[in-house]
Amino acid sequence: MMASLNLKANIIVRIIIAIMFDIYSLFSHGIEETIGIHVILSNLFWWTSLILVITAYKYRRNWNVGEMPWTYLFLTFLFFGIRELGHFSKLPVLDSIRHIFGIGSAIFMTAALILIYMKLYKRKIISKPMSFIPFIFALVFPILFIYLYFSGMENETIKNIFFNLENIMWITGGSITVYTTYMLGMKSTGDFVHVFMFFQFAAIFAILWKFLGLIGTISCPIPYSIRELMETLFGVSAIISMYILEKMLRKLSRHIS
Amino acid sequence: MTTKAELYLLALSELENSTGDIISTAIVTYDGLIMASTRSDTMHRETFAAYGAAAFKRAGETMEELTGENINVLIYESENHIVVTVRAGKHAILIVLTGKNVQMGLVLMNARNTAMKIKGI
Repeated sequence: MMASLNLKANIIVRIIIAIMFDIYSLFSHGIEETIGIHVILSNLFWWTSLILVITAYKYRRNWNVGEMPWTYLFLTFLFFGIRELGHFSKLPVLDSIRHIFGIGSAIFMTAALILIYMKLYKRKIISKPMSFIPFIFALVFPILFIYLYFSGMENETIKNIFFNLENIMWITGGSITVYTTYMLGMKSTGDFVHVFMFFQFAAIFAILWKFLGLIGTISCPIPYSIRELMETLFGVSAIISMYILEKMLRKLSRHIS
Repeated sequence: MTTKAELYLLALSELENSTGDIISTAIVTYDGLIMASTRSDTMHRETFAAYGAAAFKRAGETMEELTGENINVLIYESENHIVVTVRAGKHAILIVLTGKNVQMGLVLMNARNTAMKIKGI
């Protein structure tokens, strides 16, 4: 018991130190995108969150919100994990693809929380074709990329288009998620309040992160380090919400078995 | 081997059999997750548990503010339905949804007995 507590405290201290390093980098990085500690942290957070989604999915019978919200939650974390892996490459084509995964992640996160809200608190049965709309919407962007790529447009231009599209998608999706998580948090109880609260924090950090990126492209370049701090906090909030959900479902499973 | 979930379900069935005009019963956690439920409509079950637990939590907060004590039973009724919620130990609450024609005293007594059983499982 004591060893487990020590281990948890150790992990938390290490995360705090890593975040502090990230804050330190605020003053040492320029406007250009860099591969700093935030990339490693972000990858760690999102891939760990994906593992938490998978383990939480094992207990899906304890929280029966249907298959689609679970699918979208899984895709949110998978796509964002892939997006973060893309940081390790500097090729413009791969950068564009990275942004497409980011767009997908924004769409799926928004869809997952809308579906949970509709099913739990509105008691609306979403028909199968309706629940596939986010998939179709997410599919538009790779098709657009293929079209632009083969139309002879420069890779750098395509990258900028998808960068801006991703910004817009996260700002829009994040705003919707802030609303749905607010409604869910208002109606739920216990640890679910914390799950939706951290999802809301994640959405707020995503909006800030992308908003800074968007205004950076328009007229006011923002130090990349500020944006990467927002991105890191976005990942921290996401992993905490998934951890609470997984812990809650695991605890219930123990109680009824 | 019998699981706790099966024992919970058995307790709910006994409650339903011993009391008339019960529409639905469920044992849920304070987070609003279902431990056992007699309702077959799966989507409705989750909503029932989530709203039931939230109502009990809010009423509990009110009771705590007004009297400084924990809430044990919550009863609320509409034109055609009555909901009785009883604390069933540290981790669970029992929610009973009944029709209007039920004998209130009987429901309350049986719900309390079932809550005691649940506590013991």
